[in-house]
Amino acid sequence: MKADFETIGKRMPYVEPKGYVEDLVGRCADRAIAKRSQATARPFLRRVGIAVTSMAATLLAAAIIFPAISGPAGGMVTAEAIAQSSSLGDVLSSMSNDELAAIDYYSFDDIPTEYDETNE
Amino acid sequence: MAQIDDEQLVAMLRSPNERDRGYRILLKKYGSRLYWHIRRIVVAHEDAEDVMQETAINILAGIDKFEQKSSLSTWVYRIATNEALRLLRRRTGFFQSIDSLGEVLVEKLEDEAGVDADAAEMLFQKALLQLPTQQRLAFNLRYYDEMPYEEIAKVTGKNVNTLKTNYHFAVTKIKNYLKENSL
Repeated sequence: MKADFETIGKRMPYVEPKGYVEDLVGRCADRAIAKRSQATARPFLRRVGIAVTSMAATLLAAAIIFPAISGPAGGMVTAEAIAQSSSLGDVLSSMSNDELAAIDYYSFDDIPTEYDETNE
Repeated sequence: MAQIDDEQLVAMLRSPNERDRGYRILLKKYGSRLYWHIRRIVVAHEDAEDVMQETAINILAGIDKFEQKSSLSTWVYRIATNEALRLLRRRTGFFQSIDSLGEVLVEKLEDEAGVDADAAEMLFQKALLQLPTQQRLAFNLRYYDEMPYEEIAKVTGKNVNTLKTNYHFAVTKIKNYLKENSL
């Protein structure tokens, strides 16, 4: 076998089915356009993300700095409010004076220190 | 559809309303040629497909930067060539040149061609894959794509005299290889 430029020409030893390369190129174009569209949309989505995150961070910071806003009806949570709550009231009434003093529910002046025989 | 020349295509690509249509026409016009140019460099179809995709993305991304210092076809060939060489560079070690990939590319050629491939065509391609990359590029663009040296110079970034020398050496080496390896 004598191989030279003239006999071989521009033929390649591998071929692709008719229309395959054109389809491939078309798919590449579609993907490139889709990718560019995503890249264009991304800055807008990023701005929305930054705005939402900033708002959430601001609210969280405000809740930490001004804890009163996290209480019921915008006020401080008071001992009276806790006592009026049925479940908490039950818990508190079952606690001893020392236990109540320990959680600073009463001041020591409120706790009777003298033994009252009539309660026996 | 009437044939749209490159001048009209550039105008379409610059117009926001017609950009996508112009881009599709551009790829329809040059896509097949680019694919085979890439394929001759990287050999494997799978690699050629990856490079073709990257080329398509880079063409679209770079349209705004295209300054018409060269023709549209030269510009797209340059992008395709750079992407194909980039893929070959990724296949080499840190201190390795892409010229050392000859044997790897011959193996890919044998995988791609199949058992019923024409022996003379295989031999010719193997001869091409023995060439240093710059000689192979110069040969491919001149022989297969029939580009003038001035255009090849813009695609490869080499000067015309260097390319003529590259082509001359490539032809001599291919002829010698065919002579030595003919059955």
